[in-house]
Amino acid sequence: MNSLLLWFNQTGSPPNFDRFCARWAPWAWALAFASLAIGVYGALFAVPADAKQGENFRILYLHVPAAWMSLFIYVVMAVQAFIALVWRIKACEILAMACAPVGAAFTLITLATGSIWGRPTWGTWWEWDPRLTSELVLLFIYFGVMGLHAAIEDRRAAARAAGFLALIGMVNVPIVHFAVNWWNTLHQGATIKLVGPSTIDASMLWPLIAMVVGTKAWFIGSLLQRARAMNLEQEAGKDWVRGVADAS
Amino acid sequence: MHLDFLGLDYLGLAYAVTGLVLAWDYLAPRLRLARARRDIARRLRRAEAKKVQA
Repeated sequence: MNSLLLWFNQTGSPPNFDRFCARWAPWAWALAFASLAIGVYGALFAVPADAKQGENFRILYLHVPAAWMSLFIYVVMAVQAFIALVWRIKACEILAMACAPVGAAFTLITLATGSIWGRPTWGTWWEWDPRLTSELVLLFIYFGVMGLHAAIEDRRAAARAAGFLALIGMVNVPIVHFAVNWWNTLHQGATIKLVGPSTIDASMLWPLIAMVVGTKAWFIGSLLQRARAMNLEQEAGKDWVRGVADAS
Repeated sequence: MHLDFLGLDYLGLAYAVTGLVLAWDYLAPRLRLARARRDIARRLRRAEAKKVQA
């Protein structure tokens, strides 16, 4: 067995998984708070107001990273669910289910900040536009995964059923992403591109990068914290949890 | 532009909503973890008490 597979198998055992989460969650939180503090400072105080949108464009430093996270977390959840369904790895079941509330939180932030930005910019709080509607559907899918997972008593059966729903919901991810290309929408196209020139000025970019790093680290911190709690709940009757309870 | 009924502008409202959601996301797993550890400790104490009684 190669060393990566060995590490994966060892970390997947519940006691090692608990230690892994306990070790890395504080570092992720620290990076998240530091990056978000830098990003929010830059967004609110350092970058100039936009020529057309004025001060309200500063909302986009919340909206854009949250929107990226809403899709990124869904993909992570679906990949974990796929691994859990195919190889029956318990840690992946837990990680997949721990992704859903964090993803739902970022999707809610995306919709709320988009709506608040849309009121002064578009003149409306909400429009049944393909991008907005598919993002709302994404929120409902997250809620569906969480609800199905909570509704079944057997934790492993619940994770498998909700994981299956998460995989079916993957069909919505490209719809959200490409909605602005496939249909005529009110929502503007991509400003920042991995391939090709971006249309954001460099002086306005650095707080966005800090926010992107911060939201990624936030996701890791929250995911590990939630996964640790779920792991302990499922393993409550086992001997190894004695040390964890004593440490509290 | 101000949302007079809230005493907030759009920018303040967006940052406040984001702060609230992130605060929930930060606190909820911590509370859940604390509850799980408390339940385990309670179960262990009960098991110890049963052992002493026997």
